[in-house]
Amino acid sequence: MKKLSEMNVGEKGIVKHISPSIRPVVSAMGLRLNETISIASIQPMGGPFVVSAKNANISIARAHAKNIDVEVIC
Amino acid sequence: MLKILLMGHPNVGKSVVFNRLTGANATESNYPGTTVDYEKGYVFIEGHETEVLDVPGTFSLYPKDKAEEVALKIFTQEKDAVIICVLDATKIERGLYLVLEVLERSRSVIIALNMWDVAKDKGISIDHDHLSSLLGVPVVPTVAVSGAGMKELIFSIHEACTSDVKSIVERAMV
Repeated sequence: MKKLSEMNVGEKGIVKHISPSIRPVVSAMGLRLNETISIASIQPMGGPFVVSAKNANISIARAHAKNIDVEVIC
Repeated sequence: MLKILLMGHPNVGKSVVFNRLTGANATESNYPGTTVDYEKGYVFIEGHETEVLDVPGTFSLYPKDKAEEVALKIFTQEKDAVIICVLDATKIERGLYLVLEVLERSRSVIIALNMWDVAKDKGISIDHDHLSSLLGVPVVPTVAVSGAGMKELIFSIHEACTSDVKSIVERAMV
């Protein structure tokens, strides 16, 4: 288990925990508990983590990525 | 006068649907107190002039920015309006989140499954009749850029209805 913000490009995992404070924001964009995700890219200069989930790419701010726990599969 | 709100995530084709519905009659207007615009147009449905509002894209009914605040404001002001939820058929799951939020507030809804052609090309097939019976509201596949499905969308406006989220969950569990 690690934080989304600690993942690398290409890594795949299952979302296991999302802090309640950011849950409405990220859930609405399509990132939900037990969703399988992969990291599509990490933007430089403190930019967002681009997460691929269910055919959609979602940009997650680093501040939010720190509050999401992911169980890495590969 | 019947009012229609076009709601959906950013970039799902709400404005294209809007232009298709209203044609050259479309006008733009500035929403007071904000920098974000919404558009207003008219369409004749079965002889009745119907107002259509193109609401700024929003991910949810919990606004995170100015555009979403405008969306929520219009949504709460237009209490009697029929909501056309425009969904990107290729990213249907996250679009349904907004649909459920809208249904939770007891509003009449129709779902336009837009970009139906793109979904087909990507090999995504959606049983829209089944989806419709699960959700309890009409679901119409559309391709706004080509105009496919727009007639069906207009004809099903009067079938728009509210749906109880609890019974949706029960139906989905079966």
